[in-house]
This record gives sequence, structure tokens and C-alpha cells, in this order.
Amino acid sequence: MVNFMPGGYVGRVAFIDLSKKKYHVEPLNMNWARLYIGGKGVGARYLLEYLPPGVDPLSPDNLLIVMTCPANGTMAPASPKYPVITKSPLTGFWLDTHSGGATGVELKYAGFDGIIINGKADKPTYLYIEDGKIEFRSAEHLWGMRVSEARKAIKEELGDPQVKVMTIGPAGERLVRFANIDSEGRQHGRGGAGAVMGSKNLKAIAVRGSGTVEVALPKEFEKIIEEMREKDIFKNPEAEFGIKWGSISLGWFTNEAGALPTRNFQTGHFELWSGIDAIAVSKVRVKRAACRQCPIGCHNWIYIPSGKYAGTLTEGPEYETASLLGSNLGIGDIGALAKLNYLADELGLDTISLGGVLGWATELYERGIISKEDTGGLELRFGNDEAYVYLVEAIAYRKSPFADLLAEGTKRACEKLGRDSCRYAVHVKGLELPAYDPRAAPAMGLSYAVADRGGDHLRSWPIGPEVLGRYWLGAKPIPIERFSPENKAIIVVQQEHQYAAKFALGVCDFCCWDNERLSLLTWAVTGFEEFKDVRNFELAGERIVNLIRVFNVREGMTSDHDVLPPRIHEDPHVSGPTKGRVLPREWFEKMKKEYYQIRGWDERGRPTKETLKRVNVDEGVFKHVGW
Amino acid sequence: MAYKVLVFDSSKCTGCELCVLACNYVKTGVFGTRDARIRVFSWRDTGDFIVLGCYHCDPAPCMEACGVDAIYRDPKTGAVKINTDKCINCKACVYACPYGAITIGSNGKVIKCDLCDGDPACVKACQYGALRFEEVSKVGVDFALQYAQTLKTKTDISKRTWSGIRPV
Repeated sequence: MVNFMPGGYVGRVAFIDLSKKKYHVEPLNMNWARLYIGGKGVGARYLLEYLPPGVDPLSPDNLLIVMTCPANGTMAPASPKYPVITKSPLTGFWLDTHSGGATGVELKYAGFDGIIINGKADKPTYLYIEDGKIEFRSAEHLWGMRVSEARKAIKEELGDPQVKVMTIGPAGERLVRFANIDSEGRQHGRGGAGAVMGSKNLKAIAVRGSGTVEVALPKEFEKIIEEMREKDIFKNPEAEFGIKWGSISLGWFTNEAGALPTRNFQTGHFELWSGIDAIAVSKVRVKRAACRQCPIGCHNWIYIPSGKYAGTLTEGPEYETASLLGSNLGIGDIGALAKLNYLADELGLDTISLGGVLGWATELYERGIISKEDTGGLELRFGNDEAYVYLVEAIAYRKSPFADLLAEGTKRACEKLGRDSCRYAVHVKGLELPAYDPRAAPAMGLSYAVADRGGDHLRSWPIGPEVLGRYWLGAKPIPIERFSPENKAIIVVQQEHQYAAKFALGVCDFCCWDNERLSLLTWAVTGFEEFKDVRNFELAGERIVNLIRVFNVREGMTSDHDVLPPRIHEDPHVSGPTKGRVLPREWFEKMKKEYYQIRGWDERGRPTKETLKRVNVDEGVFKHVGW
Repeated sequence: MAYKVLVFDSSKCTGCELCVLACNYVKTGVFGTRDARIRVFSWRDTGDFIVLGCYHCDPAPCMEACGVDAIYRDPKTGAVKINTDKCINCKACVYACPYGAITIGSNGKVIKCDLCDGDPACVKACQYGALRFEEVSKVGVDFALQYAQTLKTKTDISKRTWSGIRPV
């Protein structure tokens, strides 16, 4: 090794064994850091190496990895995002779930690039990480607390208001399969990481650090972040709406495009959307807030002044929440939405999966597939906000047999229930679909089907280029026709590269879609020369996508898992601008085949050895390749 | 004498802590919070954020507490500063400050805000004007104006008297 210390890393990873209440610290594998940048990429490499194949996600043997990214803790704008990485209890495959909040930054100041948690504590425990030391503390008095109560209690107990806390709510404790982890008011939402934490009897991780993060090339770094602030954020017309209103502004676009999931994805246009859209939110907005080190501040704090839910104060709703807990449940009232959002956050539930499973149950009730006998007397109809408010709490505490069923997530619930109810379940690999209906944007269907963690919108977002006909978010200029399978796979591939590398760097998906600048930022932060060339940044993204696919294939994923729910192919939208549209199966198969070809994966969806060599994964990966 | 003061408006603060990072960076060249001369307290369950720094009081309790006259007022900016050559690091000023604005940095020395010689980095980092650096003659004007406007909208035009006299 030359005498060169890369910036952006603090160089230490902690291995924590909850069963033995012991930990040890190892140096960060710099070879991996250079290849996979950080966060999601490096975390994937650690998971592949240290998680034995075939482990049950809720068993003590599963790993819970909190990994930070190189840009975390620097002044790079909108870059506090860090992932929790584990095997998902919803899908049984890879899970990385990102949050901004404040804790990831603090973890780096506390002297760790990541922590890898193994085993199960015999009693409720929380971890206190302070400046390189890790303490196992009793959480018996915190068990059962809601998220904000637990956060407050921990800060009081430690006597330091500057401690940053990641915690689960009652839902995580009861192993609800879509329980989330809260990070200072923002959530690691998807995939049930909260249940994994709960299964380890781990209530919270409290972090305090007085250390520092250095960048390798401060002068270049200053110049690049100034450019990002100007060109990517505050003077970028693509970002204007998001900055002004928050993510909720996306609803105008999707509702007009017929892509807004409505009443369990029966249609793509919600006639009551104006009751919960960005203007409705801005009318009750009392405050704008931000994740740490982010100048945008996309969070809306809202306060409901009157009506049934008067007095509700919550952060949100984000677009996905407004759609899945709003339009997808037929709710067009900001008060009811705020209440549902508040409860989900406080109890520790992913709002997207929650909306998905509630929408599914409601449709079953309306179709007469389930009755009041099944629901425990609930009149479960679209728009019945009181039933939903009751159910959210019931699910988090698994209060009734019906709530217990829903707490398993749509896929498991429909398999348990039978009665052909899986016909109406809207998920990919067990992860409920987010708020962009593929019938209005065919490439979105491909994006969901091949996304590494199941039905998810944060792996690529082709609906943007598709509907607007503009080339952005990492996609290069290619002729785009919206309702056609042509040239869609390549957009998804290019965007997946950008998103993978960008998330590994720690930059938020809410801004900054210029690959060249992201690549230069990586170079300035880490000092790795190869990132002066944008092609290496994109290649790093491709490498991460392939690495995670290796993990998923090892865990049993095949091309048979890369499919969409039947509804998307068979049930036409019943109203709105996309009335009558489905995503034809042959379009989907064509896109998928093309996607595998571009990726260099075989027809079973497995990366070939040649592909893995081309993207230059490290030698150690090959011992996990059994095909 | 015309000089500028730091003003904090909590209603505009998003809690991003970029002011803290900027302060730490200009003072030390690295990113962190330990050597920042400014602090953010966050209540993430209600969305409340409070920034605390030095108010550069006059008379300044820290200056009075200092036994070796190491704390002085910069005549150019009005900032209360520490003369590191004279400072014996006794920390008397830390305890004297009613706002906790004086802290002990990573090098073990007493540190405090010096207004960056009239061009505060924290203010430059603040996107929404929660932190401002204002002429002392303008301080309070915008708060007064905000209040005046709320009073104005409360005034019912039909009940307005000719004299305009109304209870405040």
C-alpha cells in the first residue's frame, strides 16, 4: 500500500455479538471500500461474507448491519443517508433500507464506518455507542414504548440531549414483518428491518460522537459542493417542486399520469386527491425541517387545527404515505391521513407496506371474500378512516387474529387466508408496491420486478423519463415512447447504476442526478483517483447491483421471482387518463429478457462469471457463486 | 457604532446543523461538531430546533470573570474574543457564561465564537435565513413588522376609529 489515507471513512467496523454481550473492532476493508464505495455497497459485501446462506431472517443468526457512507458527516448537501442492511423478513432476500435522520452522521463521528450486529440478547437491550466504545444497556424499561417516548427516555437517561437515537416501536418488538426503524424522526422504512431488530431483543441504538470526518481533497470538495448546491439543487428546475413542497408534490404528476395507486391499485387516478395534495399539506404546514447536513429541508411538519383529528401534529405525509395510506385506502382527508401517518411513525410501521396490506384487506371485504367474522366486526370499506385508525394500532400490537394476519404482510397473509385472495395482493417478492402504478408506466413494472429488495421505487425511477419524455436520473438520451416496451430495459439499467453508486456514496435520491458531479464528489471525498472518470462511478454502481444479485441468487432468487402481481397484467384501470390500460405480459417479458441480456445475466437471472469479472468484483465473491 | 449581530429565528430553522458543520470546518478544516462554536438542539418529536451561540454580551460576564484579561472586545466587529496568548485555560469564562456559549475544544483549549472577523460561516451555510447577520440598527425590525402585520389583519376596518388609537 502506498502511504495514502482515503477521506470519508473513519476506518473502523464493529462486530457486535448480542448473545455474548461482546464486541470487537476491525479495520474497514479498504479494498472493499474502494470497489463498493460505502453504505449499501460495502454493507452488501459484509453481508455476503458474514451471513451464512439460508438463515431465517428472524433468527438470531441474521445480521443487522448499520453502514455509513463516505459523504455522511461532511458538508456535502443532501448526503446524510445511510442504510440498515439485513435479510428481509418480508422477502427473505436482500434488504437495504435508507434513512436520513441524524444518526448515521453521528455514528461516524463516534468512530465507526459501520456496526454489524449478530445474535440475540437474552433481555431487552439497547446499545450506547460513544466515541469508539459500545455499551450494552438494559432496555426493559423501554420495551413497549412508542418511538418518541423511547427516544426521549434514552436521552434523559444518558443525560445528553445531543445523543442521536435509532429505535423501534411496539411493532418491531412484536415482529410485525413490515416494522421500521426510526432514526431521529425519519424512518428506515421498508422491508421489516424493525422486526429483525425486535427479534434480537434490541430496542434501540443510541450514538454520540465527538470525532471528525475528513475529506481527501478539501479544495476540490468545497468547489463541488458549491456547484451541487447551485446547479443540482437550488437552481435546478427538476428539483424546484420538491424543494418548495416536499415529496408530496409528486402526486400532481402521478395523478395526472394515471399512476397514483387508488383503492388497492384498482385504478390510477384519485378523484379526492386535492384533499391530501401538496396544497392541502401546505395549508396545515407549520414548519419545514431537514435531515442533518441537508440544505433542502423537505420534511413538512403539519398540525391539524380542526375536525375529528384536531390536534394531530406529525411530520409528513411524504408522497408514498399520502398515496398508500391516502388514495390507496380511498381517504381524501388530510386530518385522517395525518393521524394514520402519525400512528404508523410512532408505532414503527412502514407506511407503504401498511397501506398495501390494508388496501388488500379492504378490497377482499368489499368483494365479499372476507366478512365481518374475519375482520372482527370491522366495516372495512375504502374511505372508512376510523376502521383504519383502529387497525393500525391493532396491527402494531397484533391485537386480534385479523390484525395478526395482516401483520405478516400481504404475501404471507394471502397465502394463509387462501380463498384466491392472492389474486388481489399487490407485491413483488413479498414487498408491497410503492406509489407508481406500472400500468401507467411500463418500465416501472420492470423496475419493480428486478429491484434488489422487491417491489420498490428507489432502485430506478423510469417513470420520470417515460412520462415526461426527458432524459434524466442517470438515463442517457434514448428515444422514449411511453406505452411501449422498446428501449425501457436500458433506462432501468442506467438508472440502477446511478442509484446504487449514489446511495453507496450517501447522497439522497431527492436531488443531484448528474453522474459526473456525483463521480467527482466521490473522488474529492475519498481521494480515489479512478472516480475522476464518470465511467468508473457508473461501473461501481453496476458492480454493486451484481454483487447484491449474487447474494440474492445464493439465497434462492431466480428469474421466477422477478415477476409482477397478476393485477398489473390482468385488471385494467377502471378510471382516469389510463382507463382500460394493463401492462401486457409480452411487453413485460420482452423488457425483462432485454434487461438480463444488457446486464449479462443468464436466462435464470444469474450473473455469469464473465459478467462478474467484467464489472471487477473482488476475488472473494466468486466463492459464493455456485453456478 | 454600527456593527452587526447574529440573529436566530427558530421558526425558519430546519435543524440541518449545517451551521455547526460549517463552523467546525472553518475553524479546524475537518467535519465534526466538537470544535463548533455554535450548537443546535433538536426536538424531533415536535420539529423544534434551537440554535445557541455567543451573544457577545455587553458587559460580557466571561470578560469580567477572566482573571488575566484574555477576553476582549474586537473594536471592528464588536465580537467578544479570546486572546490565546494570554489565556491560561482556567475555564472561568466557561462557567461564567449564562448561555453555555464557551466550550472546550478537542485540543483541550477554551473556544468561543469570534464572528469569523465579520463574515460568519454559519450564516453563509444557512439556507433559509434562520441565522442572519444583521446591522444592529435593523435588529428586531422584521420581528416587529411581523407582529404589526398580524395586528393589522386582526383589525376590523368597520370598527376603525378616526384617531386610530387602539389598545395594544
